[in-house]
Amino acid sequence: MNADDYLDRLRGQLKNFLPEQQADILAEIATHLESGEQDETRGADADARQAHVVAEMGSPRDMGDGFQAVYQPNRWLDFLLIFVPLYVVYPLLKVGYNFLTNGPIYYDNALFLAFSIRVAIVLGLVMLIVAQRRRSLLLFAFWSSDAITRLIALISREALPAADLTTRPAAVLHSVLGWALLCGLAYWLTRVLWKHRANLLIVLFALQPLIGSLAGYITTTYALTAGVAPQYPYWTVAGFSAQGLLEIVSLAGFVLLRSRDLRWVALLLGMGNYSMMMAYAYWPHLLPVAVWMLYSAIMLLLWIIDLRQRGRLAYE
Amino acid sequence: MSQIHQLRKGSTPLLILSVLLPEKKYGYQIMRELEQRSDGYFTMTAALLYPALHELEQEGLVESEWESDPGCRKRKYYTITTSGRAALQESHAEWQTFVANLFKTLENPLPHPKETPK
Repeated sequence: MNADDYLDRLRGQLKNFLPEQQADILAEIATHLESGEQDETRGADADARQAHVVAEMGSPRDMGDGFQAVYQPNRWLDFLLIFVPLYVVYPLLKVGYNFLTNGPIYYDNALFLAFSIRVAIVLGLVMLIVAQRRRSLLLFAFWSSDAITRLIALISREALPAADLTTRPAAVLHSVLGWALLCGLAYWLTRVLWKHRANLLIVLFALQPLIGSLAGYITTTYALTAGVAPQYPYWTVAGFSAQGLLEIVSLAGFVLLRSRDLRWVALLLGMGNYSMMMAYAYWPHLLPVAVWMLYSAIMLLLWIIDLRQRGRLAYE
Repeated sequence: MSQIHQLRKGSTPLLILSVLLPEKKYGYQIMRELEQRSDGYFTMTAALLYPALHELEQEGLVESEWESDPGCRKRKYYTITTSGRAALQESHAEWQTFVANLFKTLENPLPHPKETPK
């Protein structure tokens, strides 16, 4: 077996891994084989050096089993650990709140809004613990970013007036806790993303809720200032929200597909569709439309950069 | 798996951390240095080394970074973290106690009851 055979067999052993995780491992093992081949202290004959380094690798199966034990990869489980809390548990909790309080499930109901943001944050924190235990980069990226976005919404929505700082110690504590949690999560996410900064697909996946929220904040502020009422389209497919279904298809494609390009397409399908819908809602007001078009343009630009970088880091 | 093989496998994290103590290294360097430092006793296959390195990284005991070496493709370098240094110190002390007590027990058997002077 030569070095290429070894890598091919190892790739087969790592088929359950996320493609970027698989590429990272294969790249590392490829550099090991290359180091062995170039190591002249191991003899003068290059072919003998290659045979020697392959011989002391251990079997691809043993190595695959070793990595399986470390990461326990399961992309279907990762998908369900995003899908079920987000599209089943969270809506059920909101319906439960409505059932118990008889309050309307609308976002102009301040109590409902306050409840739903808090529930989402708690759910996100629980899922972060799960992500840590599963050692899943994907779950961590998704749930930390989700929790950060909702913490920003909570803090900005419930910012304390200066006068309350001395009269409502409980509210101050609440605010301090919120900020501490936000800073801690932001630091943690930044560290992880910095480490994976060469992997633009994961970086964009993690940052898309934050970029989307920023674009939403700018356009909502514009709408309030300029007195614009956006006309959100609502299309249905078999009674379900078309936007919601596209989000699920996009998420499933991103988590479950193996081809990096198809995963980019899946991610852009969800995000691009959302930005087009928002641009449509604000048409013909130039600023919000431009903001949402810019949002799409950033994504496309990142994909192009990713295509150009392909192969420089990972074993392809 | 023989008992000594299990012991050697159990000592893998300690050995890797000790090699990384002075400076950052990549996998192949770690393997060669272990071999040299132990006069060939601790020869480790890559199939054992790399999952162990990834495990140590997941536990926060080492950090890794892809870096370019002149004339070579990028390599993944591992650096021991502060927690890794603390774990190494602790593990070192535990192994010292284990080995000392093992040999004390093996080399100083109690006299057999029949041989006890009356």
